[in-house]
Amino acid sequence: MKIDLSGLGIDYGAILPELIVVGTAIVVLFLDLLLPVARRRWLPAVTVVGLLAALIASLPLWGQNRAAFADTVVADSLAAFFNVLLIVITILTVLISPRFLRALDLDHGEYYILLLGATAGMMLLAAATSLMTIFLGIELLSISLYVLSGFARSVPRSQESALKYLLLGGFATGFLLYGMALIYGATGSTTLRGIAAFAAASGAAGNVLLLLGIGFLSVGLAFKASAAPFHMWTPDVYEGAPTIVTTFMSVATKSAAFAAIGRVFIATFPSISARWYFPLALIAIFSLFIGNLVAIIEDNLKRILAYSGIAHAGYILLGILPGTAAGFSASVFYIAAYAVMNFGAFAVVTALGAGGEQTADINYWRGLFYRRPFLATVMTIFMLSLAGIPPTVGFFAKLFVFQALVNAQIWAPLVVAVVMTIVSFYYYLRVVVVMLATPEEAVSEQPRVGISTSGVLGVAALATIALGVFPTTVLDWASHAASLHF
Amino acid sequence: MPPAYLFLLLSGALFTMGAVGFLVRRNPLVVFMCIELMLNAVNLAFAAESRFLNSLDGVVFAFLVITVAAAEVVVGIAIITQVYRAGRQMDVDGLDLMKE
Repeated sequence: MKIDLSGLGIDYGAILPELIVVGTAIVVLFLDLLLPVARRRWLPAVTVVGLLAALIASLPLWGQNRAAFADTVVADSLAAFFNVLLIVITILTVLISPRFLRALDLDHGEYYILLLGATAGMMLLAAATSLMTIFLGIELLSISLYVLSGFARSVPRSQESALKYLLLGGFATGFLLYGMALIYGATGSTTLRGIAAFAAASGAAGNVLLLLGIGFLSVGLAFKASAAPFHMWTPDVYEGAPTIVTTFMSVATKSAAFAAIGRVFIATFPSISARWYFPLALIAIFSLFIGNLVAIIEDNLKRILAYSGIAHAGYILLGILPGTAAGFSASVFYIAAYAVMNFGAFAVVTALGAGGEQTADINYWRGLFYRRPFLATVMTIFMLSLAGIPPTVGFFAKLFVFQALVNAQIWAPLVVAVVMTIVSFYYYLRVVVVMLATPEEAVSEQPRVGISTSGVLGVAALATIALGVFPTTVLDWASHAASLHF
Repeated sequence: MPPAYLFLLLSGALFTMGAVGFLVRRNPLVVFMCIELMLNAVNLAFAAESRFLNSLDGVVFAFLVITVAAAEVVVGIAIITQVYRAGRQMDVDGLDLMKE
């Protein structure tokens, strides 16, 4: 008997970047077993080489619209955009990792394998056009991150962070899957293309099963994007996890989750946007309020950045609200901007601590300008950008999102966003002011940051300013990537 | 063959039991079992819908969920064991190191 596989659309070229990342993870796994301890330095090098290869393999996907594997994944500009973004984030993370891991005595090869696994899951999520691949991508990245957040095995806070993330993440997965089951029951299809065709037909807006399903699915996705009121896990997990892991997951998870949110809401359900507009607007407004207001009363920098991340999830969601490709392109630009500046801010916390946890306390940052001028300067750039002050990229990211709302005549969320942006100046500028204050007493001097760490910080700071001065190129890319079509 | 909505009602009841159990139980292992109950409710829904829609996608999805849930259990039990071995109480209310 001959089995006919032609209808499955097997096309390995479309998922080549993901395959390279997974392949690299397997190579690193074996190298970790075979290499003597003295050669451990090879692991990050191999990881970076594999990621660079995946980066190059992602570039040809730009401009294509290549559905593969029976419509479960697509190789298009959005996937290419997020592949590049996610791979660059991972490379930068790997570059600052060895020093941090050695300081914490965590220099195990599993770290790189899990990092690559999480990256592959995020890339799959960004390319997913079926409920199955969305689920697989989310689980691949989540399970890797559960382990990574508990990577400092003997540290109680890290254990607690992993357990909380695991239990709440599993709870959210349950909601996500239940939503998928209801959507499948209503539409009879698991591919987004089939679901979109059903939703475009008349009567879909009154289909209770479908609407319930979309609701449950949104809860699961909002959890991954850490949007309020599904953000409960974020501050504790961010605080307890090793800072280098927080750096990675705060930007990478959110980027991948919003790629999936865009595909679901902008590409699949534009026909019933009147139904999802109001709940989504509420989630965005909640995120803006809770993120920006709670960040004011926090004194731990990792927690401040966690709440700031919740607020930024709100801004990114605002771009989804118009339900158009133009609005989504503002979100995509915002995601790229957020990735650069938030990665930088967390990387400074990582570099300053080099493993110590007390350095996340804002009192430790008093007078940092006089002790560590370079770190304090780049941190100032990131803080100004997160606050949205020109000429940094954060300003244009907010401007484009607000512009999209004005064009779509969406006023109430816009007013909340503007007011909350002004509120957010307080806690971002507070960090800058604290760094400028005269130190109360001499703090024990930390070892200098290495060349790779300063290089990564310098690149992130330069990108934050350069993208703010010349935002048009990346905005063009974002609008091209956001023009989804099925 | 009973009508389709009965299967969805049963699935919904199981899912609710899992979700409520997640919120009220204190032992991390039991909480984890409640998550598994939620996933099994999902599997039931997928299998029943697959039968009534006469499409195989739902069954494939159910297998996918079983496989991924197994992977999640492996990681989950390891993390719970780690917390247990550190001598902490097996109580999710005790996880408050990061509350000010």
